[in-house]
Amino acid sequence: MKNVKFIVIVGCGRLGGKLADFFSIRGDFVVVLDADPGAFAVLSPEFSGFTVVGTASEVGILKKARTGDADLFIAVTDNDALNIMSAKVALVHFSVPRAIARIFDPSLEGFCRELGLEVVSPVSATAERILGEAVHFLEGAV
Amino acid sequence: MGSVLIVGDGVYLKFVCRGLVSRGHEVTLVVKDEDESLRLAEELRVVVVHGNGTLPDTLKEAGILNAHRVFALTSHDEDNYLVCALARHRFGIGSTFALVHDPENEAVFRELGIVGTFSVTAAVSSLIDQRSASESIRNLQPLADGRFGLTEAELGPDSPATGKELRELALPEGALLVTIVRGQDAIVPRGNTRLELGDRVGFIYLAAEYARTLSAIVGKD
Repeated sequence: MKNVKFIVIVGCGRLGGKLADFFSIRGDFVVVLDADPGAFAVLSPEFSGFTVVGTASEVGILKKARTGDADLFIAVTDNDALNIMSAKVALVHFSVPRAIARIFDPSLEGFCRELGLEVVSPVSATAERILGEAVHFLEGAV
Repeated sequence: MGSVLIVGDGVYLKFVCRGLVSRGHEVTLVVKDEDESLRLAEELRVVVVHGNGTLPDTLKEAGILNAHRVFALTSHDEDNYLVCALARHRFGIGSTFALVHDPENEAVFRELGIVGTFSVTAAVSSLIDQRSASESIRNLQPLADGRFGLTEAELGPDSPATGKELRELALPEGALLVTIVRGQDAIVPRGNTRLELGDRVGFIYLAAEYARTLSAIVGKD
């Protein structure tokens, strides 16, 4: 018997949509939430989860997405504040065991970790990657 | 009085600032929209910083380290949460206050450690309730972040409390009748004080007990 996980994803942009497809096709139970009903067009035909239209700053909307049942909460809207607040509400109010927030502004990264959130910062991650390649290139060239 | 740092936007902001300045507070404003920040800088005699107040650097630039209080009055709950969370956890400001729009967020913000909140929606709906309930009811005042309410009402001929002693009233557990104004007299009632027609009575109650308290004292319209 496969261990099916319940995953709530906030923000159905390119990243959110891709994650939703990935987990759904893998066989997990997925709810994806977005304020724009048109956003769900990015989902593939194989996506078999649920979609909820609404803003993640409203507790009622998070309830509707069954956040209280989630094993994992992933906030990847284009709004840092919304990602941070909804992930924190998922942890504290809905007792979700793990919450991940995407943060565009690197200056919020450390603070989010202090709040107990797992943070993904595309800017820091990309910078580190480029730096790694650059150092490899420079030192390799010597 | 101390200095207040406000991150905000929208129609109330100007009036809140003016009110605080007139009470002697030193106010610094952080406003995201450039046009709005220029307009406010012209209209108000306060320092206005144009920038994103949900970022630590902007808050530092606006002098958060010298602020005694931080108010988050933007039109987005998530921004208000982040401003207060940064102020408390990153900058050690003990006194923070957030405007909330989704009434359910009042309780959630408390759970997240944001102590002072004010729900615009709840305040407006309670004012509407109050107006539509009765002309004889007034001074609805939220206390302790809206967990208690304070209301004053006039006893009419059909009010259940009229002619009764205070101890005979069937008040809910979470309610107390605390003041009586009778003509020129202000009375602090005891158990054996008899309530009379035309008395203006003040009572406090747990927010959830408002309707039951009102009907036990004033009755239904």
